[in-house]
Amino acid sequence: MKWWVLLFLLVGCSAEGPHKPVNGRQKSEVGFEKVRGVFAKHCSGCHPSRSPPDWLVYDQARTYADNGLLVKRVVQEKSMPPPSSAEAAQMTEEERQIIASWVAAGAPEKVVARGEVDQAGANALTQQCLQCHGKGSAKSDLPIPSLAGQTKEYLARQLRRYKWRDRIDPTDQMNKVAMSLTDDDIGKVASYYAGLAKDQPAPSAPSDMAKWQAGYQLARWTCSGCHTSGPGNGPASVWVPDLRFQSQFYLLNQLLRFRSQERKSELMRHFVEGQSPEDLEALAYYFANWKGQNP
Amino acid sequence: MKILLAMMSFSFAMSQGEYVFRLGGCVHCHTVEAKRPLTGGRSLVTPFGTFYTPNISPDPETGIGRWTYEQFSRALRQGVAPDGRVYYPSFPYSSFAQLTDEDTKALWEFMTTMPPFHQVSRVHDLSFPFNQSFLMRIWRTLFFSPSQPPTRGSYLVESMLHCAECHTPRNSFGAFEMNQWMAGSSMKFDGRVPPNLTPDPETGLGSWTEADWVKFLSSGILPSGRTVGSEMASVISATAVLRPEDRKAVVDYFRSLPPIHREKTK
Repeated sequence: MKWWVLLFLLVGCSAEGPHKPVNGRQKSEVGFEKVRGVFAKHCSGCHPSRSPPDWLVYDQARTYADNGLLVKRVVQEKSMPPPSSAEAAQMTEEERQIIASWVAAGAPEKVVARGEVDQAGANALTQQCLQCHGKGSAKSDLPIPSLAGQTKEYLARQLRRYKWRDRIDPTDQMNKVAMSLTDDDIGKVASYYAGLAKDQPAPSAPSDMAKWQAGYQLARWTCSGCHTSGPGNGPASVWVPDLRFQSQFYLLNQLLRFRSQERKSELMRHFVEGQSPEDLEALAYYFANWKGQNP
Repeated sequence: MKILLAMMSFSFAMSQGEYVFRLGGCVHCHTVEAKRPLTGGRSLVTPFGTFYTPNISPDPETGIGRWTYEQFSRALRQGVAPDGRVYYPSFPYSSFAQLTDEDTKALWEFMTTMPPFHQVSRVHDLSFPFNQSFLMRIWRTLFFSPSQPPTRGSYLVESMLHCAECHTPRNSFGAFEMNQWMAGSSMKFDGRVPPNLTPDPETGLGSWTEADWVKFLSSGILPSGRTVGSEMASVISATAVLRPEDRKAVVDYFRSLPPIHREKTK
């Protein structure tokens, strides 16, 4: 298949998929307070005494904003207020436009300022991450990494790699998500997770001390230079992931994928090739049950 | 948040001995199985034949467990074994010759704390006349001329990290072509050759910014976004531990090298 056909299909799929681009709320200068004034002046004479709704109650007004009838009757047909009525004569075109722009902005209850839009957008973006990754500790029985406290550089790099399919998630989930994100979105998500506190389970003796020791011996001269020689046993660089307390299943899964070259990294491949599955398991166990550089 | 985490962690200050040990990359060449570090056996294929690294774990029978500091220092910095034989330049003693007494001592002390493993070292497999080890005395007389490194950067790069060993081409006697310093060599690692590290804009790393260098030395990620593999991956696990001020010195060293135009060897 030609690459562009593939790309086209992928883009098509992603838009249909569960992770549609999240735009957040749009900027709006009109809140309910302002349209409520228009309703009070021109609509409350008849509503809700003659017929529903009560336009002064947000939820009721919102229903008509959402079903399209408000704009249709008041702005397009101008059939409301009734054309022959005094209210219709008093209602200015400007007032009708206030209603139109309120509905266009999604009929918000409050005015949404620029900063709030960003926050709301970021919240909506991270909401989909949180469903699987959560906020803190890793679930050791799923190959899903804990992201809290990783650097924004590392997280953004991985999201970009997922986006450009340089890193492949076998379930395609991460590729779909990343494809729906703009570079700006990626920065926001990465910053969000970088700002979360890394979960630190209370140090306890690992149940399988022999396996832990085996992992420690292996990591000492292979992994530790980059992954645990930085400040406070953290990574040596903002571009290197912090493996401490990471999901054991995720770690093992990635080590195996580096070895089979399904996850592309010349560097990681060099360190994992030639290591037995037991060795890789010990390494994953060691980092998942982190208790300090020296035992 | 990060600071709190750092404070809660077990603090790990690397000893000077381990620092020299890691930067020197002893483990990379003297280890085949990560579980048995320093037992040697790693092969180095060269035009002269195949070299095998020896066991340098502190095992008294097969390693260096019976050596004294003086013997270690002479081997490391002069290229002369305790029995008087002269090492082949496959062991980068001409780079290590510049190591200070202080660093050599710290390195020795750290190495004695490594676990001993019984492993008989393999004999080099070299072609004639290179298998005549007495020739190394002549080689050493001709080409071994250590000089004091003028800067911290040159001390780190030329001595501890011994980058030139792979990144500088050699003449037919296995000695550096000094006018091609760090301009890349024809040694093959997984089919690829060590590239030109001088700031030549076309054949070297002239386009690398300081930030590119820092990112690379601490993570192995190239400006293209790809990572380095093969032997260079091991080197990155050494350069990753460079203290910030030392890393800066290394970056400054490479960025201020005279640019040399040298095409990659096929």
